[in-house]
Amino acid sequence: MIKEVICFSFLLFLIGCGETSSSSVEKLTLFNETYYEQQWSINYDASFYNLNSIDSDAHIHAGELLEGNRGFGIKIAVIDDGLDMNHEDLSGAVVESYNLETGGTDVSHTLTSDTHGTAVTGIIGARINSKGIVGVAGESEIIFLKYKEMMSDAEIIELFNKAEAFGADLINCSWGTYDVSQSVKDTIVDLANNGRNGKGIAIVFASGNDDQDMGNDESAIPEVISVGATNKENLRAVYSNFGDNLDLMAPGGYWLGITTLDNSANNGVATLDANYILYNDANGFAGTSASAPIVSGVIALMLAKNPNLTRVEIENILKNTADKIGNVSYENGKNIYYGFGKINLINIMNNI
Amino acid sequence: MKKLVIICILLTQLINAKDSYFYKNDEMVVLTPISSETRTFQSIDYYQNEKGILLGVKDTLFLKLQNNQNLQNYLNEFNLSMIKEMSENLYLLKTTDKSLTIDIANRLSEKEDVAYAHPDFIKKRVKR
Repeated sequence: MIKEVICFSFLLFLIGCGETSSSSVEKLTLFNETYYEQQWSINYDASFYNLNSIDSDAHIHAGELLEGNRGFGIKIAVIDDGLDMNHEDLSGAVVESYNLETGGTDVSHTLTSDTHGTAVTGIIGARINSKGIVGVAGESEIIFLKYKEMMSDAEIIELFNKAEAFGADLINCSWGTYDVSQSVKDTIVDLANNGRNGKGIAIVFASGNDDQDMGNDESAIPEVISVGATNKENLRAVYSNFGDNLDLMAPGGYWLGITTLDNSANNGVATLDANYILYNDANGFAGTSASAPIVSGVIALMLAKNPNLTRVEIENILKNTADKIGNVSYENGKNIYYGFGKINLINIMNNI
Repeated sequence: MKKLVIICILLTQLINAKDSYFYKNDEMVVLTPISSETRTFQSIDYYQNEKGILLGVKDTLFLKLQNNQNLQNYLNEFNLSMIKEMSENLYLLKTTDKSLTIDIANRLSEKEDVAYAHPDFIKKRVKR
């Protein structure tokens, strides 16, 4: 009997060692990303924060949640200007692609100076592969839809419908026209209410970088999740558009940029690392374009945890758990410059 | 005789006058044509709305009907052809000439069973 107890205890010890070991390996995968320490929007690194005088709450409170929550299998459509599909940090990430101009699947950037779509996609879905950075949802599946800068209402409707046809759970739009047509608005509202087999597709729009009211922009559609930008002081970035329909805030940076991917295929814009736009790059990436994909990544984590969440439930959780930052008053939980506040991942995941 | 000529000229101008507005949520949005020198494409007319936003207009428009009972009548009345039914009772239609698109959209907007009609506007997507 004693022998059996000793054997059993030894077995438990081995299992314990196994878990510890596995957990350590998992942890190492995030910290092995070359630039993880400077991903200040999702990672609180004390020395990096001190060095750059960043408010200790400027991040989204991901804590260690990204270790075990990676949005596995959630399909995120990104509508943008092009993508470096061969980027080392997006290996295996893209499951579908469509180029509006050509009708084909090659969505590479048109101009060497284009990098926006790659930067946005990196924030959402950069892989955990010990290369450069980690996306908020590093195991999500990317559907990339390449738009045209000058595009008709019919063409943008086509892209939204493509996203749905490809099975998108959510759609990220880090752009806007400031003047959405009724037909486009109807399409977006229909997808938000009835897409995803009736559960509704979460459609995330950047609020814009003009320090003005969102007006009749796509981001001002009530069924859209509109996202403004905060800076390293954990305050609204001065450029961030605002209005009655602003929903949430997320880090977008200003002087301190958001580290993400560069378009490495065509040299891109980065000056410090050919493949990555670092936080301090002269051509840094900052704006509500960076804030929106952070929220999109977070929604992917929510859906991975509970795929049955409706779009309305997602919105409610995001709003009800947001941090009321900015030393401003929130009436009925809302402020026109901060929406319902800044997203807090720990609060969000605890409410699912 | 001179007066008659002037009246005839004015009447001709009136008949040929193009709308310089379109309807959005039942409100008129004033459009200012952009001079032809700055137009990039011959197949598109460019305008600015009151906020200075550039809007391209070609020979296509959207029609949203409350029901499709009068669809064929409207196609006949305005010499429109169907390109695609985008969703239930939302149609993408083709006019015979881009110069007619705004006028036809406006006339359609005035019909009782039309939820809305507007040109298939070309707009710039601004990265943020």
